[in-house]
Amino acid sequence: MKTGRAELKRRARQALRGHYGTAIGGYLLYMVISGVLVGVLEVAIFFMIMAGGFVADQTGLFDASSGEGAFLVVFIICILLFIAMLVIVYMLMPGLIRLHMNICKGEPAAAMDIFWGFRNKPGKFAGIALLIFLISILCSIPSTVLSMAAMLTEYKTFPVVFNFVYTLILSVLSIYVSLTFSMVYFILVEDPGKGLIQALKESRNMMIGNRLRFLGLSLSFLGWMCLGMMSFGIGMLWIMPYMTCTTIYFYLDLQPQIETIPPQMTWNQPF
Amino acid sequence: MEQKNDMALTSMILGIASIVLSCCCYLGMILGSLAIIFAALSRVDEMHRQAKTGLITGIIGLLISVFVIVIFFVVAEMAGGVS
Repeated sequence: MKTGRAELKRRARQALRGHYGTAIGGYLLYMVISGVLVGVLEVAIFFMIMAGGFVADQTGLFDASSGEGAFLVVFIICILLFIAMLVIVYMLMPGLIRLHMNICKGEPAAAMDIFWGFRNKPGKFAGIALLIFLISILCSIPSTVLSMAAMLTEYKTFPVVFNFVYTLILSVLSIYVSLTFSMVYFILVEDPGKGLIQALKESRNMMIGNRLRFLGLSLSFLGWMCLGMMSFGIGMLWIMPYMTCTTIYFYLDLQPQIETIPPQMTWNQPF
Repeated sequence: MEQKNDMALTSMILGIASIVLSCCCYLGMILGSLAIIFAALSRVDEMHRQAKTGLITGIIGLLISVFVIVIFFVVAEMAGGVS
């Protein structure tokens, strides 16, 4: 039976009652780690560029060939650092889902659960991050090549029209694909023994006839997001766990054999 | 008698504070939106009385804050630019 949006949200609010501290702790840890990693990456890139310039200046090797070589080395190191950051951030996501899944199922949950991805099949989650990175790089190749060609040649109209149409098609396709495979993380978190291909197939089968329903559910949080932004991001600390728990109840609802009624909490528990 | 609901109580406090501090531009807006968020999240089956108060006062505080911000920018523009 398909449960309505309002009921899924009601269950999420009920499950989170008394557990907001844990969920917010998890999100704060996730944001701090992501922020620190982004900061480290930016500082590393800045120092590499500065150090590269200083070395080239001191050694007098700043001719065209060595300049290109230095740029290539810095570029490769930056790409590797970016991939490492992406992998770590994507490996924290399963932990965050696990934390919220425990809350939704009434099982013990702690903020440190966000590191669950590092202990359970870390290679698989790192593989997902690399796969997403590769797909996004491959998708951006045509428009990048055409933009560069437009800069070098006199033909400007075609690249602009192509990029517009390509971006439009890519946006629609990416929404469709992300809706189809939106349950992959939940499947893998619930049963880490499953393979990536199996999880992708299961997610596709689960979402047949439910894509629009999930899109509607996701869009129904737009008002919440506006409120979160108006509170300068403070409100997002409460909204993000709410959104994640609602999505988990949506996922559990796609499995009719599982009881998805949230644990009963008393009113006077702290949040 | 209604059960104690900390989130609804917080919403009410934030809502009232947002009206009081709505002249402080962004502070009223932050408190008002937080009051609305807490009021909505505190509801499971039906909304607590304090949450209703928090929701109403939060909306009022938020609207006054937005109005104050708009007035501030209009006056600043008329006085010779915001910068």
